[in-house]
Amino acid sequence: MKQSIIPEEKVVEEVNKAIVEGLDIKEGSVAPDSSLIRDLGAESLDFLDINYRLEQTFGIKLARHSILEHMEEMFGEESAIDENGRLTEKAAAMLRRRFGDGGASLEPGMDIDEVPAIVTVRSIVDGVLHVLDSLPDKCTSCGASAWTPEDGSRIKCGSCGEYAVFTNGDDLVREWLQEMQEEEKIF
Amino acid sequence: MRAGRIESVSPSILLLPGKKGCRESLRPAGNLQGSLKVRVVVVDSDVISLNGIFAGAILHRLQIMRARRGLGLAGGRVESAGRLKDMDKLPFENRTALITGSSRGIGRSIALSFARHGADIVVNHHRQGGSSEAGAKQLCDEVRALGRRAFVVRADISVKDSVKGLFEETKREFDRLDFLILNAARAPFKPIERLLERELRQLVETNYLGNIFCIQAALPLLEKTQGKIVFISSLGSRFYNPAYPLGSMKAAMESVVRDTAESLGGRGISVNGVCAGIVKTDSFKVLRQYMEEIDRMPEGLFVEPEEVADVVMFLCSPAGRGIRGQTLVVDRGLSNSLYRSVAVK
Repeated sequence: MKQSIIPEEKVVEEVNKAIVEGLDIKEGSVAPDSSLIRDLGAESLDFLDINYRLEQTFGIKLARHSILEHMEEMFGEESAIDENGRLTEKAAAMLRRRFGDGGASLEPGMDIDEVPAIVTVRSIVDGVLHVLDSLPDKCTSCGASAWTPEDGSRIKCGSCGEYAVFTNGDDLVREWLQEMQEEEKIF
Repeated sequence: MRAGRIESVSPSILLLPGKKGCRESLRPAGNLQGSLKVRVVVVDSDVISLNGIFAGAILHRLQIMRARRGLGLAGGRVESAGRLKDMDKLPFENRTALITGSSRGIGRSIALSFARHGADIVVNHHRQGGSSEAGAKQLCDEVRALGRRAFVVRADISVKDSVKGLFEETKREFDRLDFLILNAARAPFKPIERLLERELRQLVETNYLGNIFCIQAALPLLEKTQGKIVFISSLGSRFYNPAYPLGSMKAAMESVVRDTAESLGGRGISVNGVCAGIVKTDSFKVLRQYMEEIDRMPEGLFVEPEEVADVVMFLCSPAGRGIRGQTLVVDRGLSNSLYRSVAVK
């Protein structure tokens, strides 16, 4: 279900905070279209640090692995990254669907080390919202439908007090890839 | 120990490596001045024996004086009270240390520790640009601020030609190498059964082949100095760690440590390892995502990078000369106990 307990504004606020603290940059230097790598100087380990902060804040599990890694696991080695370490045409097509306008700069044949630069602040917000939207209708502990926010960023059951359990980010990416493949037969 | 003629000395006796019969005298520094006279005869020995209550201060002062005269100090052993303090102060003046993957974390800490003990440093990192390159440059500045020479070589240890360049540049800049610290590592965090062929090859190429390429390329330089190799391992080499395929490579390298300690020992090169427990370096950011609630582990069980560096210094110092082919565990006892009270801090 698409949850409405944690408003998008709260997610944006917490994502900005995690980026500012994780990258140790000035508040106000983060814009929705800022590329974490190109504009804010992030490296791969910084993504994990930012993810960890957001996981602690919202009680969720974000994707540990890149969408390219999932593609290769699901559709075969070298389906997304060729033997020269470059993006395949099919992977570029899939990424453009995933990232919409943000993926406009993606081209087949580009070095995969350049791909993470398409991740923007907005992409991170979307990733968090995607996981939060996996909130089940009912509490998995007591079966009640009584979700309530705690401290503005955690969702707990108003009946038994247990925190909500969300689908993890990697599973959601794989689900999305599966659906996209069934619809468009890209691979 | 082979001791030559010993002249004087009360209350301290020093036997120093160097030219047989050469006399050195020493006036202790600071508040010891005037309270103690020490005369020293250098003997044909590879051991320093120092007895007396001021052992640490005297030895340290002597090391500085000899370094200033360009004599260096081949090594020493302190037989007195204050042993650990003296070990910590053993200088490496006129020595050179190369630490792979030293732009951050444990490697950086080891490089700084070597520099504080007097060694010149070759800083190595792989990734171009970003915090890796910036970190390497900053480390170089810090080493130079300590009065030591330092330079950065960007090299990918998994590529043999790149390793060749790393050691050619070391020879060109310093013309010697005393300590090779194999610290660089790179691996995905994933269960082994899910690794793609490319990831598996990269795992082996960097963390096994790369280290062996470094050992091979360093041999001509290390042979000249009777140098030392120290490999940095982790507890993943011997215990299960979720999604940590690097552990299998660390285990393989610990075997290489045992192997090369024997095969290179005859050429005067010693090889050992240091197996670090859980250290809060950048890679901990990854580890904590796979080890649920590791943040709740008692703070007292986390190892500081400097604690690992201290043991590397020990292994590279004369005090560690009796240790060959061993991998010493530095984990604050984490792996030593089946049971731990919740009260442990």
